[in-house]
Amino acid sequence: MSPPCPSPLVLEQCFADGKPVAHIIECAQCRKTWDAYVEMRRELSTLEYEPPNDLAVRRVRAHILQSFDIQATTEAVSRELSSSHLVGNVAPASDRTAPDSAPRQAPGRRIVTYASIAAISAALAVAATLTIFAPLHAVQQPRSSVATQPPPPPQNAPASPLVVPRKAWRPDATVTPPSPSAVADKALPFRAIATTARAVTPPRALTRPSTFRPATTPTTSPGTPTEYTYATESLGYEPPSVRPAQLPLTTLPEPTVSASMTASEVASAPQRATANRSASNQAAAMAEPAFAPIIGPVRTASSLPTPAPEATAIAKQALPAGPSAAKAAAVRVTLTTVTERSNRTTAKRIERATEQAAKKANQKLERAERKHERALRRTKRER
Amino acid sequence: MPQAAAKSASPPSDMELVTEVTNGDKRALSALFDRFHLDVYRFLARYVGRNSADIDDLVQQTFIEVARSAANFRRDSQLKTWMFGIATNVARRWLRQEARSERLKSDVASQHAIAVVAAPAERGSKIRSAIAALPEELRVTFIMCAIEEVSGADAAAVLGIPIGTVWRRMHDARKALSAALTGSPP
Repeated sequence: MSPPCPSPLVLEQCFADGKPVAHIIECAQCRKTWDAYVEMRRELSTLEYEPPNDLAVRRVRAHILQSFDIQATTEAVSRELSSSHLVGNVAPASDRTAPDSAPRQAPGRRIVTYASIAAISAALAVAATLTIFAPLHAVQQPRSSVATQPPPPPQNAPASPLVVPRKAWRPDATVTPPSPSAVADKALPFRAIATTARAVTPPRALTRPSTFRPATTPTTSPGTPTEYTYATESLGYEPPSVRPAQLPLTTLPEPTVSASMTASEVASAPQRATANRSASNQAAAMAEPAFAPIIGPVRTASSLPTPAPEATAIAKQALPAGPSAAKAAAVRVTLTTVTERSNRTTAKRIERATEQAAKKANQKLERAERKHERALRRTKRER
Repeated sequence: MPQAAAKSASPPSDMELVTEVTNGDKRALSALFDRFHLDVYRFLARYVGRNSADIDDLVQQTFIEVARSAANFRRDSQLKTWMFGIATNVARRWLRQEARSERLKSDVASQHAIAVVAAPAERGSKIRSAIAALPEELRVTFIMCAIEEVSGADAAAVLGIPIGTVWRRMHDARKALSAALTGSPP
């Protein structure tokens, strides 16, 4: 019994070694394969190959040697540099996997950079905060020169919790719009603005300065509570009391007469002054509507809503800590009060609505029953 | 004295040349080139399948790599086999680039609707076309072992594959070549 034929891989190995096993010589199939291999090798040996010409070989050799010179020089320079410690870790030219040899920033310098960036960022943040809150803070500070006291809260406060306190307390008198110079001075309160205002006509861009927020200027729609105003009331802040159209006209310059004027000009000087005054008044009247949406309707003290008594008390308690803290405390308490009131109101409304719905349903049921009874009666009668 | 003269006259071995190249000897590299450049030329010409300036460039790159990596030669295989391995890597890289540029060219030609007729193959014989038509991994193994007569163990070491894989590739290549030469399916 002859052994089985070797696998093709074994046959390949035998052929590469040039030592055929005995089976290959005996087996016809293996012998055939072997002969095919030999034939292929013969064919491959006769495979034509065009050798390179001498010129190309010389050129290639010259290039290789030139490249070798350059490489050797580069490596020598790198070695010298690294040995002389002039430059840090300089990777040799042959090291293709060397990391980036670009000089890196020293750790100390990096820390300084980061620290400076952090300092600049912090300074910018502080500046932005001050820009936003400083004008508000300045407006909230009550001036000692303001002698008048805010009116006391009305006694006839509405009993129903549904009545939401009005947004802001407002005096009988109206508010004067800020002059251009006053707009520039954002920290000045309204009273100071009113007294220093000379030109009544506001600039075009004076519809509403973004950072100018007097305490009495309503910033929301009328009817919604503004706890901030309660706090200012209890702290004695006095709102402005002059309307632009009612500004004293005596502040306008009187007609002047100079020596260089002609007789007719001198005669017409008072008329010109009057014309100037009327023009100024007209301008003031025209400017007023621009402020009307901001100022809102004039309300009397008698129509004032009930201030939250808890808020006032807490604001008074927190007064030693500063007006801002007192105001914040008052705001907090008033917010809570308003929320509670609102919740109670909502619950009552829901109750009322449920009762009404139940009533309606009962009425409908009764009506349907009556109808049914009538129909029954009619049927009986017909029968 | 005659013995010393004979010693100095005898050419340095491959390993000595490699050592000299590692030390930066230019003449050793020149000697190495003279000794092996024809083998490398032939191997690359059969592997890449062209006889042109491309082969000159590939040979040049191969010997530059040999000079650069001479220190990494582990001396566990023949120097010629090691150089074939370097030439294989250089040729593979070049073939990839060529394939990319060919693809780009064909894309451009198709975009501009230019009828590009492929030049007839320069390979005269059937067997050369059949070798060129082999898959890359079969071709390099077949050329190395069947034509350049590198041993299977050396080829496996240079190509980084197990020896059994070498024999399997050889068998597959033979089957494909037989089929191509006889016209029968493999």
